[in-house]
Amino acid sequence: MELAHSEFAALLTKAARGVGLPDGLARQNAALVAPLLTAGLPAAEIAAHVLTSFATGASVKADHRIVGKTLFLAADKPLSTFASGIGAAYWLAGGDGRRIEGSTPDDARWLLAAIAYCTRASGKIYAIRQPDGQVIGTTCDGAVIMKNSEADMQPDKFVIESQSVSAHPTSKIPAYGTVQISPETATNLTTLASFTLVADSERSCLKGAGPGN
Amino acid sequence: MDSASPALKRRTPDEVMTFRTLGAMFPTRLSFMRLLLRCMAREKWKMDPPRLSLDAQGYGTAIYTIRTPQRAYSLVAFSQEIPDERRTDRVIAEVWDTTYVLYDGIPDQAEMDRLSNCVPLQEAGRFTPRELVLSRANKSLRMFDHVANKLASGQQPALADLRRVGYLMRTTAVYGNGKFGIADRSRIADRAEFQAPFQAEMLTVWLIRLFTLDLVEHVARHRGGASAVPLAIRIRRFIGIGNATGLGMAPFLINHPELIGRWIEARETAIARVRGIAKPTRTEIGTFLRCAERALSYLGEWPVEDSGYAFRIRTTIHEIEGMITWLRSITDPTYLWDQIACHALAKFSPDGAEMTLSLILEPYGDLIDDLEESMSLHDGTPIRADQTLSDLRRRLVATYGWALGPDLSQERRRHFWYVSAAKQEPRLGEIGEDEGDDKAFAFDYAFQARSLLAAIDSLPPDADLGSLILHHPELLDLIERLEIQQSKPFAEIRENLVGPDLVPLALLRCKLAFFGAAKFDPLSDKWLRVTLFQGAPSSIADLQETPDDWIFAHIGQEH
Repeated sequence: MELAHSEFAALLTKAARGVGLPDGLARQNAALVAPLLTAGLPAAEIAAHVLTSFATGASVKADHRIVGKTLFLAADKPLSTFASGIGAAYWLAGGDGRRIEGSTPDDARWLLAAIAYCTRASGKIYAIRQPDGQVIGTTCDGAVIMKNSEADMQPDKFVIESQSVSAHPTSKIPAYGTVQISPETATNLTTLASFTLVADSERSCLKGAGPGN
Repeated sequence: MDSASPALKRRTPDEVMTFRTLGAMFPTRLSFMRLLLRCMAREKWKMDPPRLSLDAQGYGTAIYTIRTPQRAYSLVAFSQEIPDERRTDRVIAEVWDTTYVLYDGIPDQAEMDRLSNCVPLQEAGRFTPRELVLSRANKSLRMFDHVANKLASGQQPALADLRRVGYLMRTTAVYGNGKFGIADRSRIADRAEFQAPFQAEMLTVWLIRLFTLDLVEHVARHRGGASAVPLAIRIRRFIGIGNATGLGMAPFLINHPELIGRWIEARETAIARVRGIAKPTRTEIGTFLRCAERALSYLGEWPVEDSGYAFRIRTTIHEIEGMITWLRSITDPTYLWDQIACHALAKFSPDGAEMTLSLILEPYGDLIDDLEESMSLHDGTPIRADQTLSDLRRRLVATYGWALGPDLSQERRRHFWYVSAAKQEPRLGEIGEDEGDDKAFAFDYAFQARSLLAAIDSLPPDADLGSLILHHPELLDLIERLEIQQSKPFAEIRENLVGPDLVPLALLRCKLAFFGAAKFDPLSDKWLRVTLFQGAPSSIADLQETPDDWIFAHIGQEH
């Protein structure tokens, strides 16, 4: 089915709150759809997959350790790519020469979207690559540019670091763009979003908003 | 009044972003309805004759096509008979007297067929990006019938009734920006006519108002035949559109700090510019006096049952009367507006002060109307992750000092904001009384500011913000709000939004004032009714003659 971009972002934000993410993370989660859409990636399905994984019990805090300028990110739990992705991305943008090493992200594209979004004001390009040097994707001006095929979306190990290459041409999200989403995904996200709903108490029914409204 | 010196500085966020001030705001010439009608007049928009396909009772369809220099938009209206017992203004309603869509272009028959299948369903329908705004309205049955019957018998409706209820229908929702599949804001954001905030929504409501006026005249013609008369021009102008607004609107103000920051900044900048005028002309003073006198009549026609609001209105009348008397006696108008503003802010009630500040803007379109260009949000503010925590701490203390004092204890948490499963709308619960605070919106920014201060102090001062977010991702929201306030200082309401002193109506009134709504009529401490476009031009011809002289409209006495 086809959703308006802002309609999908609202649903995604509610679903993220539904799985227990704090408001700020939930909203930024929805913002990560834009870099993926710009790259022509199936943003809705990626976001929904990551969020559904997250619902199975990851912490919002990154499981990590820092040695020098390297953040070692453990992504062995169902997605740390998500919350830790945003946290790690801001850490990456917090100082020169910083890099991330990790293993098995839930979805490297989502992690890269987090990097793209959180470092969009840094003026730097970041690349995610496998240990053999093969680049999976890069960020540029808040957008994601993927290099490889779907098979590389869950590399065993990965490195993210600033890259000194000339800027890639980026394209804005088409103003007329909508988000394609499967009925299953929509149902899953709606279910997660429904976890935020609260049954009115008798007192609230009487006084929560006033009669007639 | 005291002699004044020029006040070139804006008021501070601590003065403005309070329940006291926000809850006393009035429309200004920067309100979104005013922006729309000025744009329509300036660009000489045209309108096709309405295509009404209505039966004798007024049920059927109507199309109102309006043409900008570049494009056409159509309000498509569906009017139907509904059982009285199913008529409700609540969001969870399933049927409405009338439903509407603002269509991008002119719908052909195939599109009309599609729209007729989904628009009356509202939330239960699915829409396409050709639809820009979705809305619905219910009749004020007594008022609609009264006006229709009077017109049918060749008479005009009683002014006393119009003063009490200044509309024929109440909108119960106006949806934009992607809701239920309609167009995203980004799809129309680059169109000149929709640059300012909420312009597509305001256009929709203005066209709905035209439809309600045409509808009542249509019904009257069928009831009265040759005896029927149309609405007199001044009555047609006076009739607006009603709206009932509750807690559902409040979180918008909280969730969009950057946008709200832009709105308030534009308003406060406008006030500061006018206060900085050294020598107002006699014409400008005359315009102000005419608007102030009209405001007095408006206040006298503002019926409310709430005793507290009624007292506020009486106080404001007294204050505006005093100001007018004083102004008529002055001999030296040097920095007149600053003198008036200083006096109003020091001596008047919040309502009297805010109405005064609204009034001093009226003569100065040339000076302040450019500020409308700064009221829309384009790109969000990125967080600068490389700033040091010592810098962040300094900014936090400067910006959230109001929240960091010793008097904000955990006992000051009284409310929580949640989404009701039954109503699908934001509601307020009480901690300890209602379940669900674990699913609350995190609107406890005053407390989050304290948590952020503690988090900063737990890390080395030369650490960077990125490291702090890595350790405390739960504080990301507050950090972003702090970042926004470095460039948009009016972005945050500087009050405890979950405290015992919470005033939800203040949030509603602020937003409605920016829309341009009038006659705030609180029905409880959590919802109110307002009237939109009351006194505004009610046809394209009317609009071309006097597009912008309708603030604080009143109907006057029977002749």
